[in-house]
Amino acid sequence: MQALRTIASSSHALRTMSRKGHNSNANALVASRAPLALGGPLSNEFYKRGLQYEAQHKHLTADVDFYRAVAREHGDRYWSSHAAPVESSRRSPATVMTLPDSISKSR
Amino acid sequence: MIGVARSRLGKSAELRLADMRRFDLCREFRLVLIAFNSIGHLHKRSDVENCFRCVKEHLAGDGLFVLSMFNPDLRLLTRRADDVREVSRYPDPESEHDVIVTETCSYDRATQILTSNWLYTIGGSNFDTQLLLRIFFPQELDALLHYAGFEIRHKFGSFDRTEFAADSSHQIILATAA
Repeated sequence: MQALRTIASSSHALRTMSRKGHNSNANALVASRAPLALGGPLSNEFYKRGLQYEAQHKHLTADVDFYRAVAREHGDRYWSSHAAPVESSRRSPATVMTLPDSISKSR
Repeated sequence: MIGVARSRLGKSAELRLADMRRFDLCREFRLVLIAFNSIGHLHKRSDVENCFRCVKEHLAGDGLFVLSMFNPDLRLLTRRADDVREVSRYPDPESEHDVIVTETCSYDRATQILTSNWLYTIGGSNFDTQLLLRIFFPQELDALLHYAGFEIRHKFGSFDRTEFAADSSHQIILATAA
């Protein structure tokens, strides 16, 4: 099973990736205030015409509201969900990872 | 999908196309999420174990790991493969039509993988998509977290935070490192 990796970084990432090694210097870490969200692969068409529309029409509102509340309660005041980013989220971007489509399709 | 998400989010999120079973971001997070049934994309036990290991390595000392997955309903899992069910209907913002979403599914009782075929009909056109989701039964999911070194702090049955019970629609777990 192949595992592709394409990485995009933001200025926030560059700031927070200042330490040398994840395991060798854990005590020196300042934990990111924005969450890490792991997600699954979806086709472009499904994402554009399915999930986004459902999100816009509140089918996923309960889920999104829950995750936002948890994030707020846990100190991540600037979190944005994939469904409805908040303006202030620019100060502390979320990190989202997904499996590449190729992995899902190979199964 | 990443490109579409990036065009919407701009710099509000750092998007990575990677393998959630093996990653090293060289930082820790106070909150790690696997939302919207996404854990179902991990089909094998080793997939889940590797993913949870990575999550734990990236979780800060006071960090919280939150995941949500639907609570499997045996009546739905044992539906006939030709049983078409409407799952959603909503206005299409790009036309005067409704988007009608129907689903057929089949469930493999050996692998516990549910194959869902979703058909989106918009006016006279349609497109379909297929999702292969691993089904996690409640005690199974709890055990996987336990043996990966997590302690479940809360388990909710819906997004209004009612406690998890037999008739819950979802398994929503808030866990910390044990």
